Amino acid sequence: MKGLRHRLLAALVQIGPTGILGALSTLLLIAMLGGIIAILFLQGFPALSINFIFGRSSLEPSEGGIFNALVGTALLTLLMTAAALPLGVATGIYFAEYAKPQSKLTKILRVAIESLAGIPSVVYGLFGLGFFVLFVGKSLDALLSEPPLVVWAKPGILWSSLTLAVLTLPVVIVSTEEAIRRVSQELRQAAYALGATRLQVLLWVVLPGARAGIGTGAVLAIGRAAGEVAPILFTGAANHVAELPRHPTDMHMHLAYHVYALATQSADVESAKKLIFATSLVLVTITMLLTGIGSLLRAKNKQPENHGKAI
Amino acid sequence: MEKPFKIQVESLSVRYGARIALDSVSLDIPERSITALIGPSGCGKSTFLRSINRMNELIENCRVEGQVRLDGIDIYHPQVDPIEIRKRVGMVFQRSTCFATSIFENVVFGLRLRGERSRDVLEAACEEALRKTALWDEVKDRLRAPAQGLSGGQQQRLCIARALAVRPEVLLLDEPTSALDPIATSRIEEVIRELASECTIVWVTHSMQQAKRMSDQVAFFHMGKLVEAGKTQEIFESPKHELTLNYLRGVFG
Repeated sequence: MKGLRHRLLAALVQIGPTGILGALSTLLLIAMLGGIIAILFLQGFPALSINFIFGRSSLEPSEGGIFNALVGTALLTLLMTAAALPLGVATGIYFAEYAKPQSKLTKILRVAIESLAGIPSVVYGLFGLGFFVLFVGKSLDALLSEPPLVVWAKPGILWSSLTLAVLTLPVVIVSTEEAIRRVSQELRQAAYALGATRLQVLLWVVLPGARAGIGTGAVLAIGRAAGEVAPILFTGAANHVAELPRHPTDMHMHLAYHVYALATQSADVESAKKLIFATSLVLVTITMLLTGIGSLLRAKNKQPENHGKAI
Repeated sequence: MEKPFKIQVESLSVRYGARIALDSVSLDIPERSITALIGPSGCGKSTFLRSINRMNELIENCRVEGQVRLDGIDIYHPQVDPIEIRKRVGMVFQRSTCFATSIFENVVFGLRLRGERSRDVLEAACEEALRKTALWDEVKDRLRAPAQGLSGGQQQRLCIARALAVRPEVLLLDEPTSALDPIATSRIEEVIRELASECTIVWVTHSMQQAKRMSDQVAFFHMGKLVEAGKTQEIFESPKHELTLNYLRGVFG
């Protein structure tokens, strides 16, 4: 007994105060993650059922299933990806390949992107309301109908996904740029030496080499955006929509928003409680799957490369 | 009979910003021969090599003065497209630069750049280039396998095959064997010796032995200047310049 204590003490002295602090904070982090998952699982899992997942939404949040929210989340994420990915990748390519690093414009753009990443997500929601719904939407209505009807100038899945896309953009841009910069100069030179034009080098050597890195960044960004509520709060999400969205102007339900609705709008607090955890469990599973895929891709990317390898 | 000159370089100066990398160098390179460029690190031999296919232009702040004539035509003339020059003048680098695709796709990369689509043409060119680099028998059963699976020496020969597949008139070699073991090196030397019958070869090397046994003529660079150039035997046996003598004796470099 005494020997054991002695050895433990010796080990602690050996790793030192920094090591002890590091070990403690690591333990704390793991405990927090484990705690969150354990609570979600214990409270939420019993409420999971086919009826819950595939059941249509009901006006009373604690009755009915989450199918509308599930489909809404999926559609929102898909639309958001379709908007953010091409624009983000194109901007990343511009920064890595074409922008002059010393020019004023490049510097200003860079500061803008970095600041964009630091803005609270609810501000994106307000921006989406002001810009997409009220400005773009109203302009569209004025253009498309005479006298103006309110078709586009109200929250809908197109506006919420575009707002979410703006939130995701900085991450996609930065990860694209980094992935492109990681493609070795020597490979580019080899392609130039074979008579490739600048565009051919980009399309045939640089982008294939950066593909995995770009994909990783995109998946991580999408995973994060899939769980965001604030940007869609004023731009397209609703407590209860009986129909699944069929048109870009339709409002939609969302898992994270549904959690909020269950917690605040439900008449039956007790039965809502189980559903809150069950819905959260589904949401966390989806985002963790996405993040997990992203992390796996990233780990695969960072494997030590032998020389001459493009990725 | 003297061979005609394939490349004629006349008072070539290259500057990177304020630094003078190459100072008024003139050198004639005969057709279908091996010319070795030697000299201590930073002497300008790589810069000279990269002037022949206009690769220097990819470096910012690089300024080139003077003339480099390929078959009598100045390749720095404003109407000459550097892309066209690089299609005629191939290059192999110090470290192998295989693309992250299959062996086959690596070899035919240059042909695809030129828009060649015919399967038969590509396959024939691939086989020919791989045979010339003595790789065919080693890889013919796994042309679709990733090029990164090859050994260092094989990868370097693959890079040579890739350069050869487009039938260049000139092949520039920037220390292609410096990262390889003696056996892989001697295989590449055999390959290059064969190639000299169809192609003009300009070879930057740090190995005096390699320059001596492989080249027809040698050019010795020092501090951005061409100190002397001539037939390999003459340079090695009776260098005219003291700097050359010292370098060959290993006094510096």
